[in-house]
Amino acid sequence: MGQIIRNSIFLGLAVGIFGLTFGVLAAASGLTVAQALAMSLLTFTGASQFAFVGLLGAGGGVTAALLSGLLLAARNGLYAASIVNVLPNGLFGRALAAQLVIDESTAMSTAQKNLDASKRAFWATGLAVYLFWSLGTLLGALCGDLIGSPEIWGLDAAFPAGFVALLVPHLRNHAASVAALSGATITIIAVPIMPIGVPVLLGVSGAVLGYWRGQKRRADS
Amino acid sequence: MIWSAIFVLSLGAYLFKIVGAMVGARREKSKEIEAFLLLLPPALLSSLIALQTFELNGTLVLDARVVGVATGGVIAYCRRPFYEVVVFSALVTAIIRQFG
Repeated sequence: MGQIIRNSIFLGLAVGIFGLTFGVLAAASGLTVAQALAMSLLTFTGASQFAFVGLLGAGGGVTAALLSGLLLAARNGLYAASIVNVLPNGLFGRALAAQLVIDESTAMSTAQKNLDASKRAFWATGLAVYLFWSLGTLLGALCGDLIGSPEIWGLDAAFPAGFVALLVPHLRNHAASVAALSGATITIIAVPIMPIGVPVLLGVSGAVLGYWRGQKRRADS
Repeated sequence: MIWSAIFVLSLGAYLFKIVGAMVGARREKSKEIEAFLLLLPPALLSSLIALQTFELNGTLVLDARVVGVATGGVIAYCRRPFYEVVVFSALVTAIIRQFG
């Protein structure tokens, strides 16, 4: 089995376990099994879904849940723009592929060495995550509270650790390191003072700082 | 009400994706734009790492996740397979929570 497919399935399984927890949390927040599954099939962007059901469950109201979910979903637009060469050229293919543009498919795609591998990684990861995320959600919502909290299994740490693994290949040059470092710093500073969902969007501006540093360094040398 | 919100969220989430895919496609690709676009994933990924490692209910906390993610980071830095990073970071975090 190819390394890309293998990594995609491992990633899909890890996300599937998170899908289980999402299903459980969604059920605990008062969503029906159909609503939980519909979210994973239609919304299909994990952080938004977690924020949505989290705020519903905490009594934050539907409007706050919706806005937070939308704020968290915005980054997928940036992802889609950043990997546009990987997406199909036809309108139908692109419309279909757009639904699969999420953290995992973008990261796996951009971590590849050539365009062909990037395309394969995008589809393999996108489809594996879509399948396991939805299956996990269905099982989780059906099982209700049997799973317990993700914290017991340390799964809440597995997610960012997985992102670290995906980040490492990006740190190819000084500009990328500056972008990563300032993105994380901006997010940390924003967490206590900004509403949920905003800090990670502000962190995107780390790319601007990285770009600026990269240009400056090129001008100096 | 919840069904409506789910559909609006889904529609909005998809619009972000499709607009990004369309706008990104039409834009003239210069070296500068490409260089900038390549910096978006590292900025976003590290923001997500920071958020999911240190954030809890809108505040910053230091808990078992930090050690778990650091463990995963070392394994990732050594270019070990992805699943090792995920499994060991979860394991370390769970163990610390059990015995810490």
